[in-house]
Amino acid sequence: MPLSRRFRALKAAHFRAGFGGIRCWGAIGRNRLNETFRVIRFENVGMRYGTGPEVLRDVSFDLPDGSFHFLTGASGAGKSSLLRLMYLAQRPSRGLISIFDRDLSTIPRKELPMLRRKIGVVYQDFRLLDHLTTFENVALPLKVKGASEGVVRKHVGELLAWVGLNDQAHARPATLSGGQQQRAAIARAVVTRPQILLADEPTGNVDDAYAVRLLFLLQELHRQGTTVVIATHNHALIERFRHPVLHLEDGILSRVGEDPVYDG
Amino acid sequence: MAKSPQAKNAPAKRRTSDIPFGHDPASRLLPWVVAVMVYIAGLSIAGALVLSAFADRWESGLIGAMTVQIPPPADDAIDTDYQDGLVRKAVAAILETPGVEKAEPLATEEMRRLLEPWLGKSIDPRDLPLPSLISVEFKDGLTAGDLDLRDLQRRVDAVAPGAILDDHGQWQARLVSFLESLRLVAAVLVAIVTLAGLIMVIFAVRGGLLAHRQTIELLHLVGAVDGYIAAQFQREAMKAGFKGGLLGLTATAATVVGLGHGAASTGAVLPGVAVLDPTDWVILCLLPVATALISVAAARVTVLRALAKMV
Ligand SMILES: Nc1ncnc2c1ncn2[C@@H]1O[C@H](COP(=O)(O)OP(=O)(O)OP(=O)(O)O)[C@@H](O)[C@H]1O
Ligand SMILES: [Mg+2]
Repeated sequence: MPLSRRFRALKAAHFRAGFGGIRCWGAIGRNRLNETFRVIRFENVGMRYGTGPEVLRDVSFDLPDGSFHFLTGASGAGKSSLLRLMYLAQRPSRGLISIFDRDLSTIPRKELPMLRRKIGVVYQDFRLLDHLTTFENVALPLKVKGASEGVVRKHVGELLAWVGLNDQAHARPATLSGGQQQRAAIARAVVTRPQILLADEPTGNVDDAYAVRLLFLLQELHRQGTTVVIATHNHALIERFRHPVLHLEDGILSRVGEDPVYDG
Repeated sequence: MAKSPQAKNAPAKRRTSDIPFGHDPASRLLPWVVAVMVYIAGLSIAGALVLSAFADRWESGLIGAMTVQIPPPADDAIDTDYQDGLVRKAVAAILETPGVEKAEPLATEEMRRLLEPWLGKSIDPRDLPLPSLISVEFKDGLTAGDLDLRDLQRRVDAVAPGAILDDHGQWQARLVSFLESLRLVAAVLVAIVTLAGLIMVIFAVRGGLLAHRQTIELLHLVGAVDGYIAAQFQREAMKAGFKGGLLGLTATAATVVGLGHGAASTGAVLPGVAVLDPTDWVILCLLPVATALISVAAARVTVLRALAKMV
């Protein structure tokens, strides 16, 4: 079957399966999308682990509100490290990072949780908690910010349906397949309707067909206004979805496709 | 800092903790360590309480009486009749004092019996320049403090100058200070055990922080405030503290009751030793609550301090 036809078939299946939209989000108030607003800004950022060598050097870029970027680079180029800086798991060793127009170096520690709640992350290794059910894992970001049980049930239920994991709601992550774990991780990343979605190789260990399906899920979030960055090795996907690319080589960042095509 | 998200968190708080406690050995061992600490502390406290009751009883037993000493004549000439006359007059004077029930000179026979071990049978104590002793008993429920001792002294002095009133105060003061130091020992023991327990809790919490580092990082990354994470450790510490406290209390109670039976079987020799009042039991029953609270506080401080060092 030619690739394009396979994609079309998958897309149809995707919508048939009811993944068409996240109902509870409704008409989300992100139509005041402001493409000149820089959600993320890096200026001459350097980063090292401990006393090791710099794994990121002089990284400068900014991401407009509602943009969609791929992040590419060879293994060990620093993709995960760059994402770690973006989701505030790490502080840069030099340079300036601002998220939502706030300079990270001046933000007091106790305000970090509020910022992190606006950033959804799909980790390279999922990081689902083994002793919690799928439902509880997806509910975690809501629970942590003190959402009521009603809200938790509604949103988590909706998202589990969206990623097609309704039947596995009470299963432990260990009993899920790799792809199912991935979808649980995606559901957890977006359950709080984050303004930024960062995904580290979400298509790393699934077949191409499945990868496309995941991309449709992420694309849908992007369409609703979420700023998305996806680290990936998968060039077929990049070709197919034609979003601008941030390319890392040995810790140095270059931009490919400066003229972004926001194909919603 | 964690106030508002914590407060609203109630419904989602249910069954499972986000952190899989109970998998690391330190947190499983903690209740038992706490139990041992509580046992030692409980016995110390029970001991202190028993001593207090003991001291009270002795005090009330002694306090209803005193002794008056009539000094012997200053010169060597011993005039027994004169001395007896003084004693008689003194007894009369004492009996006139309000609050006095009984006043009796210690009989020569009794005196002899008391001194015999030291002097041998051949010496008549009345040949020695000994003070004459008058045993005084107060009316029901009165103690030396209730009487006007200065008035008594004046009355006795009027007939037998130089008489000495002995309300056993000195002896009693020594007993009290001895019991006080025993109680101090108990308090120090409790303090040491509390400190040791505190250190154990802190180490267990640190072990937990290390064992669950990954989970804690994830909780931070999904937006948990430090207080949210600390609350989970606090809940765990509370469970361990309370469980250990109950275990320790049970052991303490069994020991105290057992000792009580042992004391009772000795008959009158140790009346009332190792028997605690209901209020004393209430104090002991507060131990699990205290250990739970101390554990919670220690866990909170330890976790918050450790988290403050994280990104
Ligand atoms: N926790 C860490 N401590 C020390 N060095 C690290 C750590 N994580 C990553 N590195 C180093 O940083 C560099 C970049 O690693 P990073 O994980 O960001 O690469 P990557 O582009 O995500 O690779 P991959 O495609 O394999 O996931 C590597 O040289 C790696 O050895
Ligand atoms: Mg990586």
